[in-house]
Amino acid sequence: MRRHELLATLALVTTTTVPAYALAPEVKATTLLQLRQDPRDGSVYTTVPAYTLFNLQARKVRLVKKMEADVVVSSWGRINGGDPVDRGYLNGDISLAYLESRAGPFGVRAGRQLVFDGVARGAHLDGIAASARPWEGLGVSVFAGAPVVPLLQDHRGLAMAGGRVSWRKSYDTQLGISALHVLEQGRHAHQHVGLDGRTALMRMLVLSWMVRWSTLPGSSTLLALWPRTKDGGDLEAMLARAVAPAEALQRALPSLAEADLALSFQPLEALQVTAEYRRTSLSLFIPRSSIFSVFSAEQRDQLGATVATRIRQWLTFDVDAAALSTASGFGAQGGARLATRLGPRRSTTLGTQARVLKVPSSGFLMARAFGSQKLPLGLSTTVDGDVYLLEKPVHGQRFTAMVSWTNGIMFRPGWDVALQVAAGSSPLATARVEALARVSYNAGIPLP
Amino acid sequence: MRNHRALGWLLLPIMTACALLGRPNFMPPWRQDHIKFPHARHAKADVECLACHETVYDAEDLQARHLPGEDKCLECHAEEKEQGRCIFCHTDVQAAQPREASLPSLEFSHVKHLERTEEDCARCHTALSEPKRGGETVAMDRCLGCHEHKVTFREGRCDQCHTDLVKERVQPLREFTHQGNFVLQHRFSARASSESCMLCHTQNQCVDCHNATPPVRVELRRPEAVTSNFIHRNDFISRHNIEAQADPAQCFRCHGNSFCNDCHRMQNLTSTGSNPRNPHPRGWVMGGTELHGAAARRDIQQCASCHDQGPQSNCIQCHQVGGVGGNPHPPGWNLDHNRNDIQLNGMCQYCHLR
Repeated sequence: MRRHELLATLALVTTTTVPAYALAPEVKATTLLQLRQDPRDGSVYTTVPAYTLFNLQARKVRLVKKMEADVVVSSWGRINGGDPVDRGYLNGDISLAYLESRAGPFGVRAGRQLVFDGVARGAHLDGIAASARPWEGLGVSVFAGAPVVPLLQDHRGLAMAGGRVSWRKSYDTQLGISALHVLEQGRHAHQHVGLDGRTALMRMLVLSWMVRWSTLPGSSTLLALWPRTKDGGDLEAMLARAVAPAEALQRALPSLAEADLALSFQPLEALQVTAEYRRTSLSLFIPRSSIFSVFSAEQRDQLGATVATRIRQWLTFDVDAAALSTASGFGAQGGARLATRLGPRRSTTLGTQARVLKVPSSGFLMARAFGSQKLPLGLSTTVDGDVYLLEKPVHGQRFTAMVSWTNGIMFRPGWDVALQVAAGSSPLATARVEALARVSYNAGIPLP
Repeated sequence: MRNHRALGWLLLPIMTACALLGRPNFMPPWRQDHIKFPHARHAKADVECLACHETVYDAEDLQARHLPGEDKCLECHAEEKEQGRCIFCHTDVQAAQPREASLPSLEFSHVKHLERTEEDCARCHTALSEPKRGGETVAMDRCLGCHEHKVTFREGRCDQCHTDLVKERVQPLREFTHQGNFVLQHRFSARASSESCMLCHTQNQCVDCHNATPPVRVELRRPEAVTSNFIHRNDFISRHNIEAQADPAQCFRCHGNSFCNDCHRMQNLTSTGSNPRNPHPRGWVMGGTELHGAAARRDIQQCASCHDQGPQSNCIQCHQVGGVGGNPHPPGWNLDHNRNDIQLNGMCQYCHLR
């Protein structure tokens, strides 16, 4: 039985039998029917996909005598009407399917899951993760498995393992060291070691940081960026001798794959100011097993700040700005958003947003307005529109615009129906019209 | 086989709904029976709490509800039952069924607390349920009136008392609130304290946005969430290359490394498409380092978005050792790479040993 079939069978058995045994399963089921124009390969096709999304969580399901576990499942299915992009008319997958059990300071989670600890970076994997807090403040977590094959990709014989050791004085004061190793087709794709921490410098000032190095041989980038001429010369030979000890050190040192630092200042409950610096290099996301890891040593730096304020209970204002530095040159991005909740029960939401992004070769300017109104009898209506002005025309068009109008009704506790129509113009389809119908039932799973 | 599997997924919710409906005593949420019990009227009549809730004397956990059975009510209200006035106590007697077992979400011993409070239940139960008001749980400040819990609170080890915060839905205090731009900052919490997150959340909430195999964008699933900072809102496809240049690492958190190539192949934009369209200007290849070479140095990810086919990559044809394309490595490559690395990395061998 292939891996996918095995997973499918396990999920089918789990999702249909668990509710019968669980005392209080919480479920969310959503069915969507969409009608949309799909521009591809120089033409515009019409597709009519229907989706079913299903989430279930059941707590303290008794497995054997005294052993209890939480069960979490998330899966989806799709029927593609019209002319689908991948020529597949039926499709589906499991997003999550795991059992999690805790006994005192020990915990174990098995199945398809997400792992966030340290340098795992939200890894989506089929495997097992275990954690323990053996002594006060000390924490250990390990995980191993096969990464979930992302959408559209073929299985490439991946495997990953990693872990994190941490010490925690409080939620805002902690330190961790973590590692991750990824194999692809039997080759080392990524090997990362990271340090992360949070420090409450004052009650209202918190420093959060993470540094990640790539430890595969030859990952260094520091001296690889040293300028050299093709034929060399006396000056270069002299410089080479001068930096020889540094080169030896450089070979021994791992290269920096990512540095992420944020200083958050929150003097009031309604005001948060955050300054951020982030550096990413190619070894963070291009695996060593890819041929493209040998052509470049580019890196990207971002320095910026965000301010989030709640001026009144009904009025919020967020603003952010950042400068970018890439191998191609400099760039910048920034934005602002103002949102209000009006009415006796905050039933009216109105807002406006602007955003600008400039990268060395392109960029855009965005303006957006949105509003929603809750009406009696569980009715609601929402309007959302945006326009992007592109710096460089795409297919001869310099803008893209879209407006959507959504009407919903909550007709039973947990049940709702929504209908959306959207229209606009994009460089890929001059006139674009979409429609969406949604029926959902949610018994106890909070929205993110 | 593929179609059968997909059909299986579509049947999942139906089968699960059947499993739910097939549960003994299953009743939809809009058909529930409740017992109308006026605590205030009974207290006024000098009925002691423990006269009805006597099992609470021996309760060392919250496994049982400690609610009196019907026989206890009939000690005083037998007349109403004999007259068939079910509505005297029941809201919907047709939906009446045995009470579901308690699923405690708190570590708590009534035995220990009855001793310390000298059987004064009102020390903690300050607001009791009434027919039109529903049940009232004991507020956490009643606990903190006696217990400080400083260390466990600082460490975020709420599970010392709260065994199931997902169910309890307790609003977090101070450090654990998601104030400010929490969406932007939550990566630090997840990296360092994912077990604290999981006290209140399950991964069902994470997977709405962090998913390697998403069926449909979260923006379409929740069109009414206009205040959320979704990434792929509206016509994302027209601007995706600009967003990707600004922060490729963000894309690759969910989309795999060859996602670009796989999608572009379906658009016939790659050299492996069925009828590929060449987007490069004239002289792109033979222009050498001035054109494609310089572009590769600046933004290799853009090259990889169409040309990452492993050993079949068209770069190898010209740039392998002895090829017409010459050495493709960036300046200073040899400083940083030992020649023995070639033996360790099978990918190097496609150019260097073949």
